[in-house]
Amino acid sequence: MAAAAAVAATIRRSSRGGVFRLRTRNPNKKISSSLLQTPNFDEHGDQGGDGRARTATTCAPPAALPGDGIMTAAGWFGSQLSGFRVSQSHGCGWSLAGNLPACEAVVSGPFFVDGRKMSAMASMEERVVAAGEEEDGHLEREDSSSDKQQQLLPETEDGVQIGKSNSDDHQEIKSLFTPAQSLSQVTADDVLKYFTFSEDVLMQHFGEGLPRGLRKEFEASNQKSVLIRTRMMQLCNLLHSCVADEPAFDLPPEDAISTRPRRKYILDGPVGSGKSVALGMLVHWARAMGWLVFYIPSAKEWTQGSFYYRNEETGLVDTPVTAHTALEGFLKSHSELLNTLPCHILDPIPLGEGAGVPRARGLQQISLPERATLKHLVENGLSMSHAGVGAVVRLRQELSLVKEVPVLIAIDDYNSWFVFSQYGVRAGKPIHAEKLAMVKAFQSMEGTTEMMVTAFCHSNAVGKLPMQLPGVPKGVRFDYPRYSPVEASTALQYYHRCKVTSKEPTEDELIRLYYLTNGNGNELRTLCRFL
Amino acid sequence: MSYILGTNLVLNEQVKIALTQIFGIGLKKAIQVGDQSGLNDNIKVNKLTKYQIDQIIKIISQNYLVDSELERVIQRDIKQLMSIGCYRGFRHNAGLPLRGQRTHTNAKTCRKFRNVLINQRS
Repeated sequence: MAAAAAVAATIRRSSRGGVFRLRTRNPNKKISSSLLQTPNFDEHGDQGGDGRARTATTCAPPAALPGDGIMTAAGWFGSQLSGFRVSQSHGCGWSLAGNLPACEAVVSGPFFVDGRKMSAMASMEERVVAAGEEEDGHLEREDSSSDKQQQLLPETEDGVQIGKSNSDDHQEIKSLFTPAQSLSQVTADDVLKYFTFSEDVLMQHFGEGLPRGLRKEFEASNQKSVLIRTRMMQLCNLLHSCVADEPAFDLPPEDAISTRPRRKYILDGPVGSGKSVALGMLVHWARAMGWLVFYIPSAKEWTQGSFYYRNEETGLVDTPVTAHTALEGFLKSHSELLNTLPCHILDPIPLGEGAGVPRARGLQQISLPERATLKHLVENGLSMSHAGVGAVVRLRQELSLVKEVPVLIAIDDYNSWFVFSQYGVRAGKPIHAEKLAMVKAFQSMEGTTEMMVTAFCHSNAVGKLPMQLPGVPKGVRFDYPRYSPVEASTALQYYHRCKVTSKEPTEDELIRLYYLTNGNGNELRTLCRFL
Repeated sequence: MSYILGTNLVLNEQVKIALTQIFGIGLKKAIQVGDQSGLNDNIKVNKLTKYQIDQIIKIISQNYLVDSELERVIQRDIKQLMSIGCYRGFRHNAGLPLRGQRTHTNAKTCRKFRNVLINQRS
């Protein structure tokens, strides 16, 4: 059987209503009749004529074809859909236009791509990709036999098929959650499954607090589960390659990333693509693997909201309350590990201003004992409000000298450190974020050996930044895309499972919601309630 | 209530808003005081420590005229105008507006305080 043409086998209702357009990439591509099915239109191209929106059924392909049963796509559609006119469109294909009442038809069904069966949503993606980008598709019908009718959608009372009735969906629902207890135990088969955090794990690995994205997801679904995406696993593989020869997850070859692994990455992507969630999952994975992770759930919190004091000795601005919060969270997540890591720099820690307390009397520094560990450093910073900022700055220096375990610094809302802070704005003396002592210590990604993964946040009002940021090496941007149609479909199934939606979304609604939100996970979560 | 420089500040207000209750401190001066004290916009009065309140009092006392001192200075200036016999002094004595406003109608605010002055003189 000849390979099927890349046929954009979807007829959608035009935005103008009533006008259908069927597009195909290559009108001269030769296709076999057994590979295609037509919508069930009558002679006048009307389904009932009552104008109600309904989905067309599919039927067996035409029995008779000219010649050897092979014809061009244009000729085939033209012969099957009478009452439609065929015309060239945009020079990259042709369109089949006709006037019909509000009606929608899906021509294609489940497909195989290179021997792998795709779900209906995936086949939709392949269709769109095939129509837009590929020259030669490799779509093959699930069943090339002309005797078997391919029912895409279940039937209504009128005999019109709507919704999704693929038996594989039930299996998909059953395997929606992975049984792994930790992200480090997850395998490549767990892609597109949901991983559930236990309370112990959240307490243990997220002492600094949850990122905003994760909190919203947990609140919306009333469960503590997140979707495992291929892109997140690719990022984990890249970081794991820096410390070990083998990748962390055995992804299939088509999903494996071929770029050279680096130790510094910036997650960048459109709004609602899941950067914060991915960073949170990365932190959990790294901590489960035994790495030392300094996590900042919201870098914007370091530039606003607490007391600030100008340190005349350093010329920077100290924020003792922020330092206290950061040290507290770090100690909560790594209390035992910090006790095993020795301090390499034993110089005394300088004292600054305390949070709402008078300046310390006597010596303006704290000395560390001889065999001090990182835990001593953190506890010294917590014991005295004046020593907090000095301890954080010293901690940053110590993290780059740790050799016993891999070290990862994870920062969310990283782009808020390249603009002015909220301090001093109303007084007419705005302070840039890099003038804050703690921000200055952690901002630079250059000149250190530990791993660093940061995430931009486009939900805050930071605005556009230059392509090349100070202290950021070139080529560290890691693109994090929004949900693909498959992922969106899985997410909607999960939300239905969590009773966020009142009824199970049909394929129609899936498609509509996906294109309405363009894969934005946040909007998908909000709008699915209205299904 | 927090008592600063002769004024009771409301506890659950932001510091820069609460400081405007002090006679002689407006919003601009309140923001400047907050910046010098290292207080962000959203800090409320009930979150301040005693040290921070003392610091605010110190900054205001050193840099601005407030409360009774400001009132004394204002009264001194008015008396001086009266003593030198200038036009503005006459208007202060008469309890009438002195910045060129009309008196055919309006001028109620100035006239409100005129009776007090007459009673004081008698």
